[in-house]
Amino acid sequence: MRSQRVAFALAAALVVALAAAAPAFAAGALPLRIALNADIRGLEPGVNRDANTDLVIHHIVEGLVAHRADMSIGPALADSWTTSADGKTYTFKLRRGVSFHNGKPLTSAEVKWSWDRYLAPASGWACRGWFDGSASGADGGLRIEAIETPDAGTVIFRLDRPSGLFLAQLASIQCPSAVLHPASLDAQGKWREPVATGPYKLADWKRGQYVELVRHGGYVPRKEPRSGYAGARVPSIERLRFVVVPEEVAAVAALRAGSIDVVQNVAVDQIPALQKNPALRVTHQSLLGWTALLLNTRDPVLRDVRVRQALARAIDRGQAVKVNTGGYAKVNSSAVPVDSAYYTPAHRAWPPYDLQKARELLRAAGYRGAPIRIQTNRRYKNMFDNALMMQAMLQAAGVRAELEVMDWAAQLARYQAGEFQLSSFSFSARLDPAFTYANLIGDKGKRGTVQWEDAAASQLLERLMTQVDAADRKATMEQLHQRMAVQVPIIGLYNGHWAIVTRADVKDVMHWPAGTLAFWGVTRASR
Amino acid sequence: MLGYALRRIALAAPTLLLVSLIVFTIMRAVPGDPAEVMAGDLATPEYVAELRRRMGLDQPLPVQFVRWLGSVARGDLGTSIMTGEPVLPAMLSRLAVTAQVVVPSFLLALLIAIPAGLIAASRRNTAVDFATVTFVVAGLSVPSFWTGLLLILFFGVQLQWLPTVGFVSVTEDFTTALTYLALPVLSLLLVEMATVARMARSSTIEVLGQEYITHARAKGLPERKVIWRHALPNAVAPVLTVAGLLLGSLLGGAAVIETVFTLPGLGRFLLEGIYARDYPVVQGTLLLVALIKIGVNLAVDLLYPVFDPRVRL
Repeated sequence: MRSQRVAFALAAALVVALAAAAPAFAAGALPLRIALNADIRGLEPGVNRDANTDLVIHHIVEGLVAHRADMSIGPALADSWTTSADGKTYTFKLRRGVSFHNGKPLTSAEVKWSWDRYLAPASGWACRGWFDGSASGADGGLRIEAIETPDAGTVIFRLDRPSGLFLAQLASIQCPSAVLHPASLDAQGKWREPVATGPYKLADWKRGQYVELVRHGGYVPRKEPRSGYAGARVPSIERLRFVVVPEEVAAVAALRAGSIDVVQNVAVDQIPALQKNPALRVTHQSLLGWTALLLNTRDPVLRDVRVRQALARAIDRGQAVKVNTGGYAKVNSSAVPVDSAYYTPAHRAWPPYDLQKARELLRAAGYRGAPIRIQTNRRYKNMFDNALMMQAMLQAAGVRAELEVMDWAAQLARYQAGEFQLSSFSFSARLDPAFTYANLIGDKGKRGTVQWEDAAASQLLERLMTQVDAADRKATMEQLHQRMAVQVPIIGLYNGHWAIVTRADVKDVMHWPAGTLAFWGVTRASR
Repeated sequence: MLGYALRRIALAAPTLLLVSLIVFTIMRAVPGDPAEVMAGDLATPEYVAELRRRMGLDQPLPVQFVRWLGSVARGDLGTSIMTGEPVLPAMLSRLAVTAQVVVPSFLLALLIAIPAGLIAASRRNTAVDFATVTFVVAGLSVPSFWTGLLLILFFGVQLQWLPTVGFVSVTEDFTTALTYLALPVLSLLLVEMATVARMARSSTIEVLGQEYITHARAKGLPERKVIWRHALPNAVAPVLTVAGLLLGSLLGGAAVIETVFTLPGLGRFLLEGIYARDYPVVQGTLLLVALIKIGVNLAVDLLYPVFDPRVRL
């Protein structure tokens, strides 16, 4: 009896302790809490990055220029710039009154210091190859020959050749060419933390749990309205907390409970229930990211263009969009995203869904039922669902399609090496379609990720890389797509879709086709 | 007993060496490369080659293994490829999180499930026994992530009594930590209780059929004394074995529970390391897991004579 009383007393004490502690998380000045599906990898811009890392870092750092919501290039730390007649010299005038997180003013010296560091061979910066001539892809080759600082407010970049992509590469989301203060390094020259000019600065990073940013008190926003990563970055909310919640179901439960304010990229099957909840707001966003079925054109079966055309005709892209994205995504087989300024009706050209014609093409190609394997993984649900659907559609056309399920790292390795027949894949957003073409076109012998080996396409790509005029670039992209629709080196399915779910009192979260969010300019009713 | 313990500790060294060799080989044999994972779909061959060089992956495998082993011998388990964290402190901090969930749930499970198993066995085929068996079957059949999600929905979303995501350590703020630990501890507790109770019940049933129990009863000892003094010590020994295995596995990472409740524990650390092919993290963590299992098994072996005097070490 005595032991029962002790047990009861202990249980009662536990309940009281829990009840007493409950207000600790229910009240108080809360930061805006954003769910991340994985922890960030680091805080050094462009080094060891992924989408979550980019999302956090862009709140801390800024570059000279940035993409607007329409993917054009707008000013950021540079107020203006001019290009020389030969297209090889860019002169940037810096914005006045900008200060680093440590209170020091921004000058051209920090811009040059940051760039010298990025271009050093040991920098580890993922996109160094874009600027030092070391990358072999069509988007590489350019070399910055000199960076000059004639005065504190001017920076001059001298290039070895004209480039239609230089500004877009400077504004890259994945490789932010952030201007940093030397205080970002310790006395030994090792990376410490970003001391930059963005609207937020690092407050705390508890690995595996959260990253918290706090408003940069000395931040002076630009005057133009917010647009993509350009324009005014007003840090309206004092603190942002990016909370690691790996399981989507747990993230949504936390959102419903009010423990999280924003969940990005919610699965479409959850949307109807969430839309009915008055405490939540669901926002849809179409994306530049491209979901596709990769084809290995060196494969003995798939090197016959008739087989590839048959596969294209066997796949009902509209049905894939309807079933796997709830109809929210946009069908697109062109490397130029539907939301791009370069997208024209010419990019709709594609072999239509026609099972009869697909069977005829397979017969004409002498296809005798050799197995064709579709590589996929279970980590990314959309890739797996697409593979499953493609398998069924190809089987309906008489193709012996088989699934080869592996983990993501293994599939990525096969993709990098070009070791697959078909691969269910998604490309992250490239803000200029030229980057997508540069990734697709080339020589598989040199780069396993190449999908399309065609001399004429390579020439068109070369031209595209140096074109500056938008109309010229548009025309080149149309020509590229016309060839692609005939040769079918890859079967593009759709440009992606995102559902962003927030608590109803959170307003003005910036979302755009680039597939990232921004929390400057966001407001929230006080809680 | 001391000699036995020292011999077992000495035997742990070759076991760990073997484990490290197996883990190293398997990780390299699995397709996928940390440099490619790190570079993602934006990688260029030049950048991937540079990353491989920086990670030392361009060296022959035996060289990589010997270098890693040399570092381990100096107490340096390397640096995470993905996050740049030194593996040893990262791993220990993750273990501390896992322990805060696993140890309380384990102790509570022992406290509740052993008596429950004993009582069920001593009252076989009664309502108490039937209820215990039903609970055991349910506890073993229902996956812990599902229990966890139900608990989140009920206590977190519906009642809003407890937080559904996040973690606060007991060393930071004890009472707040309790709110964060309550649901994961409860989720694990249900499964652990079922496992331990099943073993306690079946081993007690076996012990109660022994001649010395009949003898004790024939001597006229009250049933309570028969159960607690004669049946319990002998029934506990097999339970101890199961409990030791359970504790070792859970301390090595309760990955599912840690994922559902967003706890930055050892299991999630290992899982993320495997996804990213983060060789130092996977190798270091599995070495620690092996060490934990060896330690727990040793502790169980040393405890055996306490409950069963027939066992001599």
